[in-house]
Amino acid sequence: MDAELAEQADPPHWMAIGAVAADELYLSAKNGVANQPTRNRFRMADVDVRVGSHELDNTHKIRDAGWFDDGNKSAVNLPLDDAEEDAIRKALWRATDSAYRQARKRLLKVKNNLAVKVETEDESGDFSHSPQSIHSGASTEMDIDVDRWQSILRTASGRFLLSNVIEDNSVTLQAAQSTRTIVTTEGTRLTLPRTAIRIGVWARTTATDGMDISVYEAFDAHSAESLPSAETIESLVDEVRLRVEKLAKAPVVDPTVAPAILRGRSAAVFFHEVLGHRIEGHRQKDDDEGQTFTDKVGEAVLPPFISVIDDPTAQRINGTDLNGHYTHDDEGVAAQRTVVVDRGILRDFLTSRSPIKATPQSNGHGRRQVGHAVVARQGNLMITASKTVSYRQLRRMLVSELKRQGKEYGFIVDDITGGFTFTGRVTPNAFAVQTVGVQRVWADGRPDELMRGADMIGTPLTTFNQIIAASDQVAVFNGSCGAESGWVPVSATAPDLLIREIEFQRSQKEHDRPPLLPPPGEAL
Amino acid sequence: MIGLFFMMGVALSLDPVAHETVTKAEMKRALEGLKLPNQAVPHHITVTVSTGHFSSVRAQDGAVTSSQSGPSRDLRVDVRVGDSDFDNGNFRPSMGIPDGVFSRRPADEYSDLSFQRELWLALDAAYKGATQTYAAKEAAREGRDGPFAPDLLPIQSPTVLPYRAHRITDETKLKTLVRQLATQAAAPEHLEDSALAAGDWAGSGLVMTSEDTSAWIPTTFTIVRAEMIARANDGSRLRNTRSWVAASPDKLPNVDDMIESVNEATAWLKALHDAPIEEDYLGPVLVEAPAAAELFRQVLHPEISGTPPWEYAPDSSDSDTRPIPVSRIGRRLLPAGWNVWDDPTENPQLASHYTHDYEGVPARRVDAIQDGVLRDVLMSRVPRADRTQSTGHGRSSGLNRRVAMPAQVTVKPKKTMPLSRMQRVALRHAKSAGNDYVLVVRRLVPPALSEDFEFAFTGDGPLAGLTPPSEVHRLYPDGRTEPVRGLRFSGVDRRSLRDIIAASTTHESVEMTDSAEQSARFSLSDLGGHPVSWAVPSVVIGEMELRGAGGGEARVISAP
Repeated sequence: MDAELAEQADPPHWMAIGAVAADELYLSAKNGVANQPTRNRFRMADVDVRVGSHELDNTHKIRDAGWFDDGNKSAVNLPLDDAEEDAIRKALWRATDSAYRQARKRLLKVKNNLAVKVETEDESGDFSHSPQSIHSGASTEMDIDVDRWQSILRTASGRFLLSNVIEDNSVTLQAAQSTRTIVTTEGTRLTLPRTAIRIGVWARTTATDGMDISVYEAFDAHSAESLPSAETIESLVDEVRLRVEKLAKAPVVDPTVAPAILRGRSAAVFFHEVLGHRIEGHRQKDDDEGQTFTDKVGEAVLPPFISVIDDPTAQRINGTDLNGHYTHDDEGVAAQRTVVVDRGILRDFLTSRSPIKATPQSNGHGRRQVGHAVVARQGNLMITASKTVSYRQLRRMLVSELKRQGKEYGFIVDDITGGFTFTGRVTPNAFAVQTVGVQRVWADGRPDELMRGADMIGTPLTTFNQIIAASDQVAVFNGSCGAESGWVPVSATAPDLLIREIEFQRSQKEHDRPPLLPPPGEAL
Repeated sequence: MIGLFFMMGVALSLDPVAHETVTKAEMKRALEGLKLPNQAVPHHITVTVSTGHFSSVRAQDGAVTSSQSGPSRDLRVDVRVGDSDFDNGNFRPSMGIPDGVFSRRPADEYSDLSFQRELWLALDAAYKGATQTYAAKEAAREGRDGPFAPDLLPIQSPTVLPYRAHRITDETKLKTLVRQLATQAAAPEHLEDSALAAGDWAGSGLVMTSEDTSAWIPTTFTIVRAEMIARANDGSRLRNTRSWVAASPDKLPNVDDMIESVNEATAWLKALHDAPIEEDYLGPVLVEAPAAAELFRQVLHPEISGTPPWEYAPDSSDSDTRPIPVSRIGRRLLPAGWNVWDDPTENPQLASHYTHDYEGVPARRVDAIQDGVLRDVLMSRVPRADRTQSTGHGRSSGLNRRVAMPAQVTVKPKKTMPLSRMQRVALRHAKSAGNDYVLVVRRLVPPALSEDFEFAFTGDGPLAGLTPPSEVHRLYPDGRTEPVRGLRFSGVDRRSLRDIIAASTTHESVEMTDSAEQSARFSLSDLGGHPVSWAVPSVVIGEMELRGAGGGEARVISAP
């Protein structure tokens, strides 16, 4: 294929094939009964073809594109059996031929777009140079005892029947063993295995005001040995059950601005949404993005005791496996520990091989879900504090701050369900972090009170200035992040943070009545 | 994302009595207890528990790309509030308002309590949705004169059918078949792509109603589809397909026959490489089997299915929103002397055979077209003004209402002639139309494999036209034939069949899959749908219009 394409008038300047072979296992149970285990094996490949040059190629953004930009991408299915070489070759041939023809057409449109539109603020090229990488990771087995785990899940889920409040529930085990293979025309050859296992416990009910109360807890591990015991899972089911029951009866937060402590996981998600997406490289040269931090390298963006690092090479923290770990990104570049904010000063961005003014080289953060184009994404985002206090002291500082501000109460945010943020220029560059429940902390010393229905909202530059203290306890949030290049596994780690002032709004809520009839059967 | 996806562990045994007992108990609780203040209460509930086993295998370029097998369970509840003359059924409220149909996925393992909890949640959600749709319908009819048709046809008596164990599908056997066909399909060098897909389903659906119907309805069918792609000399993409539908893998044709059919399909593509494009044709067309089965199925399905469209809320133009059925009793659809009947019970060997429909109503023969005129229609329990009984033809997928759809249809002409004479008749008419040849259509693309996104924006109306022909040739008076390509039909509708000028005897049934809702062809996936069969003659239609186009983008890289 190379030889034929080299003879074309617009030959590719770079090509890559990224294949994923995956083996997924899914076990689930609810109400004390299990589903049949399911196993899913698939193989897919992305073929990337770049036409033009490193300075300008077909991947260049077409501004104000609308229907004009056919930047669609799709992955190709591959045979499950390695021995089917002819079929593999044929599938890749079709995909490469189509990708090349599309690339050639798009470059024509790119050139027109440049002629018609004004100059961009960042005139960086489209593709940085990168050395060849050759690496073959050691393959791992999932090694899940299916019968044993099905029994554990079945028994654990039966504990939800102890409640007359829980309407729906599940206890699940998802395990995936995948191998990414990347080859490029620069000679990169990578084989990158990964094992990821998650135990999930979920339950929901409907509060009397129609709000959906949903609690989800998960354990993430890179191997079966790291998974929790049956007793731990049953305890977690009980915790989730009791939390749902309490939340269903808890009062709803009023909109307010108040000091708050974000416990570790909440703080981690907060930073992922508010900072993490804004330091992704491609957003720095996209004129449709808000570019909150683009011109702030060297400036203070956070309090001087806070640093932020993204380190995909880290595998675990405090015994917890990190979801965002990888050795090489999806463009074949070795992952790099990247200091984004150093003691409050912005230093760098997360980059792929799409250069930006501040960071012309990739630092190994080019990622994608199969079937998408690569963009810079987070990996393991780590928030650290050089000055910390105990959590008990942090709580005392919260109460002091309440009194200083003359506020009746503040909050402790225990847990979140997720969040989102707008980074463009049309909608306000705001964020929303959705909490599961919050504790109201009274300045006058009354006992804490569980509340529900609160979203934390704000804008990044204002909110970061309000971080006043951090604890010495660090928590990990493992999850998946969805953005332009699809869903990728990530983690965020943070200490508990005291924030001088943050706004809480009421969460969106549903309006259906709880079930009209009592649940069948008595609680066991 | 497709992959190798299989269920591990032993197949679960089903306790039908437990299912029936628990369902009855929870339905009783729902009927007695589901009440919202000052709102309509349930007058009818249907619970459908579908349980079965499936296998599916896909291959591309001769190699398997996905394979899955395992049990499948689904719970669907349908709550009607009001009464049978006026309830929430057959009305489409504005988007976002739920209706009275809800589904949940029960666990594969069974316990009374777990299953009853699924019913509890589903019935609760369905009841709430039903009252909302009922209120929207009341509002829509406020101040309007009828008459309006009732909403649920009565049954003569409840149906009780015991459970019969279904077979377990065999993924390995299916994979072997797919491999054999895929290898054959991938072999020819002139092809740039080939794909095989096969699906096998065997199961039973428990239909229980508040009228005391308690019926286990078995369903079983196997589908195999092959697709081959090549390029013409001008770069146009050439595509041909083959499909087989049967009650089970054992009832598929002999694999050697299937391979031969695949070889014929690929040979046809080779012949099309240098074939001319038929740019514009107006004249008679000889439609041979199996294309004739597709022709009749696509044109007649909406004409003989009696279910009226949904009722909608009136828009600002104050239009009459009473739904008018597409099928019209008294309309001439075929030449004089032609008869068409549908009897789902006629041939037990076919996948389309059944004794009771998805509402538990016994299926019966319907003599739909008599002497070329529509005299009767297929019915589900959705009423229409001129019919008072279901004929046991109610089926649908997902959360859609049960509508009448064909099952085992036979089209019988009055006068027949052998193919050779039909060809002479066609050529004579072609000459009168100023053509040197007549077009012969041997195959049409089945809707399940159509690559066109087609949706009837007229609501529930049928789609105009036919799917494109995949095998067409010119027939010259001296007997010479010449394949042509690039064609699409233009302006085909119910009137086309009145132009039939010659017919053969009725061929054996062609088994296919079809969707209950005719308004969206894309809704039918390649391995989905409901089995149907059509036994039809080959026909010469006096005048049809086809237009063709070609041109495409050649590959840049040579095939490996």
